[in-house]
Parts: sequence; structure tokens; C-alpha cells
Amino acid sequence: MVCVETIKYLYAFLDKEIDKSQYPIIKEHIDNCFECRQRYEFEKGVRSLVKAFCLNTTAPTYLHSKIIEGLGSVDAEISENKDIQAISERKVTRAVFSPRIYAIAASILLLIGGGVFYYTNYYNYNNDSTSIVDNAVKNHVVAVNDNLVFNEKTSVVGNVNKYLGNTINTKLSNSSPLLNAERIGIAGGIPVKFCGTSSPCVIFDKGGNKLSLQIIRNSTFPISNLERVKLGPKEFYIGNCRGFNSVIWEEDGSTYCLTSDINKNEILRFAATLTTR
Amino acid sequence: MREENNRRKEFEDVAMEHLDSLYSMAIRLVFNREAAEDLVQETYLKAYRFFDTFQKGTNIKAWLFKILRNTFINKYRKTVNLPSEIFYEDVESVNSNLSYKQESDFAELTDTLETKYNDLGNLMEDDVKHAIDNLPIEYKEAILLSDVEELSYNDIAEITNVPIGTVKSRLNRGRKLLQKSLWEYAKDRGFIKRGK
Repeated sequence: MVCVETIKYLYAFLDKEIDKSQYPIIKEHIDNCFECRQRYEFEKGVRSLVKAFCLNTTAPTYLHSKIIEGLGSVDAEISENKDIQAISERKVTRAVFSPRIYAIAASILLLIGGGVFYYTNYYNYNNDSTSIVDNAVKNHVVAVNDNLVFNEKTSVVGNVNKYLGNTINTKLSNSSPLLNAERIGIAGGIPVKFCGTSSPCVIFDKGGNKLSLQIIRNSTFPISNLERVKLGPKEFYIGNCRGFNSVIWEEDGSTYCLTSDINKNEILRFAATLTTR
Repeated sequence: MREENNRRKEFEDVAMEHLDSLYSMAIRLVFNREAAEDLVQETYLKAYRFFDTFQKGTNIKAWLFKILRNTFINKYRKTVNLPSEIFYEDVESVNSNLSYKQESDFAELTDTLETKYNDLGNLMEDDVKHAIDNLPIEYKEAILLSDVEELSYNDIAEITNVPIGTVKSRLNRGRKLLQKSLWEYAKDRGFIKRGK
């Protein structure tokens, strides 16, 4: 082992990333070579300075308890979601396995090909406001993360297949601020007259935060169990699900839903700017 | 409910002991106590939410550092709007010319290694702080993960999302830059001392 090699492997040696068989050879050289030892000591000295400095930086004691507290609220959130899931699972089970529903669905399927959508519509119209928000959030997450724009569950009206081709721009990166300007009628910056699945999420980019806008009904409908906020002449309903906020409002006979992970006030303000256009 | 308590206890047992390490890294990334606290807290909550996805038996410290880094980049990109990796790589190639020059400057000084080693004793805590903080971020994180946290090249590559070769070259260049700036601080301190 010569000096050149020792210096070459010095970092790996100090980092304990060197082959075990090489270790004693390098160590022996360092022990016996004055220059290499000097180099080694210098490297070690710098390291211990950095290490000592960083280890001296410790987290404030209250941070520990703050985090533990935070874990508690995550727990609460998880068990809440489990409850919601349990309820909706029960519902689905009933809907899916009831022989009567099966019979109706089957006969509709047999009689008219497109009937399945009406069935879906019927089922969805019975949803309460809370599960609408839940669906909107799911749709939002899918749209933002996977660049997908469909969710069967928010499908209410219209022909799904019509939009399943390549006509939908699924590249979120070049979709800002509008996901599919060609297919969606735009009036004043918001999509109009398409709803449900045929009005895929329109994604807005607000300082790096993504907000998605969906038309969830092409009609008005009674909203219950949601917080109501009046902002100017307009009424908004706020829902929260899985850590996301949704704002629902009605305009020109359609019901819109804006979803994002930004806070309530911000999302409300953004919704207000959309409606006043 | 009991299942959750177990999960919680397990998480606290394995993850909370790394609080100081994560905080120490966070503050070197954001330079601000409050922001560092937020970053660390967010990291822990995220880690807890995704604890199911952690592979038991692998290095939890490395996993936490990876989450910290991703959280930092997300936040950083949101507010400053910088594209991350491409930007870093650009910096690296620009710096590589710079550091070769610096490396040769540095080589000229190797004969005074002993003086230098002794001069390190003059360094104040603030000098070390400035020397670390002024490093380009990808060198800094590699050095802290290796020299302070003593993580393997493999773990560092996993955390920083680059091949092992890149980790090694970042460590090489980063350490040389760091030594150079420490040495400069030390020299200044030495002059001040001798001047008195």
C-alpha cells in the first residue's frame, strides 16, 4: 500500500465504506507513514468539528410534546375516517347484495344498454352532502396525483364514454390553469354546462397549491350537514374530509364543488373570486 | 383502538429518538428555528400517517431523513418555485469547475497541514456554522448525513435520490470546500490572535 492509494481511499476508510480486507492494510500504512497520518488526523479533526457542532444543536423540549400531541390528532383523524368508511361500506354492501336491487339492475341492463347510467344516477342522487364531499375529495386526489380526470362516483349525468378517448388532456403539467379547455365550455374562467364525469376536474394552480373544480350536479339540490357561510350575496357550504376542504355553491342552476388542501379561508376566498367573475 | 395504541407506541419507540438529528438537519436547511420546527413536525406527522409503508428492519433514521428532505423540497419549491433536481445538477456542474480550481489551490497548501491542523483549534462555533451553511445544499446534506449521522453511502443515495457514485463525488467536493472555508476562518482567527 502506497500513499497515493491510501489518500485515494481515505474517505472510504473514514466512512467505514471500505472492504474489510483492505481495512487493516490502510490502517497499518497510516500508522507508519507520517504524512498520511497527518492527512488522516486533519480529516478526522474537521469531521469532529462538524459533528460536535451539529450534535450541539438539539431540538427544543417543547417540540417533542408538540409532535406527540400531533400524533394524537392523526390518530383521531384515522379512527374518524374508519367510522366513515365503515358506514359507507355498510351502505354499499346493502346496495350491492340486495337481491331486489340486483334484479332491477339486471333487468335494466337487459332492456336498455345505457340504463346502467340511470341506475348510477339514481343511486348518486340519494347521496347526502357528506358523501358528496368525500367523493369530491377522492376525485380531487386522483386528478391531482394521477393526472386522471374521471371518477365514476361523481358521474351523474351524461355519457361517460364520450369523454374516455384521447380528447381529455391528462397532463397536469401543461394544464394550468385549465385541464381541458377544448372540451369544457368556459364562461368567465369556469366550466359550464358539463357536469359529473363529463366535467372532469378543472385544476387551478394557486402558488403551487392545486385546487380542483367540479360540477357535481347540473341542478340545484338541498345541501345539509355542511357549514354554511355567506360571503357577499353568495352562499357557500364548507365540508372537510380526509384533511381536504371543499366548498360547494350553486350558480346558474348548477352545483359546483371546489376542493383543495389549503385552509378554509383561502379556499373560500378563491371560490368567491370564481363566482364573481 | 388497541391496535392504534400499539402502532402509536411502536412509532414513538423507534422514531422519536431521532428528533434531535432531524432538527439539526432541518435547521441547516432552513436557517430559521421556527421553520425548522415546522419542518420536523410535518415530517413526523407524515411519517406516522405512512408508518404502514415503512419496511420493518430497514433503517428508520434514513427513512425519516428521506421524508424530511421531500417535505423540505416540496415546501421550498412551493414558496421559492425552484425546479429541484435539474437545478441542483446545474449547480453541481458549475461548481465542478470552481472546485477543481479550489482543489488545486488547496493542494498547494498541503505542506502546511500541521499548521492547519493546529489552526483549527482557533475556530469558533460560529465559523463552523457559517462554513457549513454556505455549502451548496447537495454537498451540505451529503456531509451531514455521512459525517454527523454516520449513514452509509447506500442510505444517503436512497435519501437523496441519486446513485452512490454521485454521493461519493458530492462528499469529495463538499468536504474539500468545507475544509477550505474552515481553514480560511481559522487563518483569520490566527491573524487576529497574533496581532494582539
